[in-house]
Amino acid sequence: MSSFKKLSFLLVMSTLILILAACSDKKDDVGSSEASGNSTAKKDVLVVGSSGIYPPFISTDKDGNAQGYDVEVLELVGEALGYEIKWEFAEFSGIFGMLDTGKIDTVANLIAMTDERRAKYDFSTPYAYSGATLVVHEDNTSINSIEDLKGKKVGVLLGNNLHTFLEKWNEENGKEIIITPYQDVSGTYNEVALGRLDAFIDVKITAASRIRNEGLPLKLYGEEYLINFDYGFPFVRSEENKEFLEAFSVEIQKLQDSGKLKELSDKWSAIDVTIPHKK
Amino acid sequence: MNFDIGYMVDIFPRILEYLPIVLYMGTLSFILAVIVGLVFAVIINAKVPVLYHLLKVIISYFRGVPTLIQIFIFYFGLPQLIPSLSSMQAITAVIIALSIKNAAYLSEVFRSAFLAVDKGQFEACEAVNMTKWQGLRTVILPQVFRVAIPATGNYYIMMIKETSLAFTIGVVDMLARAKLESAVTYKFLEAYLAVGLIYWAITVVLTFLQSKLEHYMERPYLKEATKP
Repeated sequence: MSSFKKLSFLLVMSTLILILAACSDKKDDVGSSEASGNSTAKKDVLVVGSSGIYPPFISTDKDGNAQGYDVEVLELVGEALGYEIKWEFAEFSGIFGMLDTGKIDTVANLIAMTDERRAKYDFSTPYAYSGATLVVHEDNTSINSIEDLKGKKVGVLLGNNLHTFLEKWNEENGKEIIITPYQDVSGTYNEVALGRLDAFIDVKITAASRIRNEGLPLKLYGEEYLINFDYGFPFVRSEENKEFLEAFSVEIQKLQDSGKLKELSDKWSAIDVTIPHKK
Repeated sequence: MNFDIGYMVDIFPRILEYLPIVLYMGTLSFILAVIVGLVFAVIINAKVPVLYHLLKVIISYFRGVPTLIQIFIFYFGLPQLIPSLSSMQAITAVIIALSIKNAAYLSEVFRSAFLAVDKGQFEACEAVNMTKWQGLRTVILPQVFRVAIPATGNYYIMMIKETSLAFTIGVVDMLARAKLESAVTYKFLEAYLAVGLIYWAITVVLTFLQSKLEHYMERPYLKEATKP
């Protein structure tokens, strides 16, 4: 009896190990390209990571397929270079970790080319241009510039470039803004509508469409950008990626020159995102 | 705030598509956690030299560091030390991280369950000429399990919900689906409430199954007259 029990225990254990092994094996045939990490130039699948929650640039349709401006730009570039695009959705906080460890090749999430990011990653030619704005309650009259935020409670998305920008500005201007970071954007506009936040800092293009779609009593603080941003696709810095990235950037430039980029922008965005900032 | 019940009903089936992956991750890591937790508890109870001290440190780490950070360290950190781990799939990483973390907690549950059985019972078993294994199987373990079930069931429910951290490293589950859906419609409250209700329903079912199991383990303690 005792040996029978031991045997059955062994059986259960080995089954479990098999299941675990199987669930890693199953995806290996698709993911073998991911495993080899940064060798982007050698394969014909481009694995792109995204939060999937940044419409109109990147979101998912009812069937879970990627859709948006970023998606169509990437698909055109991929087509021209002979690459198939494979999407990986994850929480934004995990995205750059996935990029660093080679689980994904690049990120499509309207990634601003900030100095901090440029220091670490190589970016493609910009495919969108916009800047930061403030989302405020529609009755607001007191917030008309970044100066007016002093003593006010301002929401930011934790760890994004706007967070960095606001922290830096605050540091240099007396630290009077009360900055409240949020893990994700889900509830943030409601916070402003409910009066728990005085303002939320967001990218103008997403803010404009979100206010319209969500139907909340909100508005943009004004026309001007608090800071300008160029948006590109980040790649891990490596010799192998360099060549691919050059070809990639050439294709984006072609789309820009042919007016195809503007066409896509008109299709997805309320504002033209393809006008470069004046230097 | 205008709550759109129609939308909530509408997305239910699309979120439910991801129920299997949640149950798969939660259940598999639970089973592994129970097995590993039992091993941990035995080692600690027997005070196996070296292993015992090593385990104390391991358990302290897994109990002390937040789950999200453990998953990050496991998925992004370890491959930098051991490159061959970089081919590990996200779902495998979640299952392993959740298993070990909860094994650390469960080992304490099992340890206390072992302590709840009087030492004299082992001696009594030997006195009636049972082998060690016989005594363990027929006398000790049934009592240990009976004591351990309520707390262990709690961990199962917690682990099912902990799997929602998996989206951080790219496993799309029910909560992730809800986030992706509501990003387009901006109806976050509706989508999250739908997810919440599904988790609640799972918990109700599990609680029911647990009470059945507890009743079964309780049989020897019921008076003859009240036995069914």
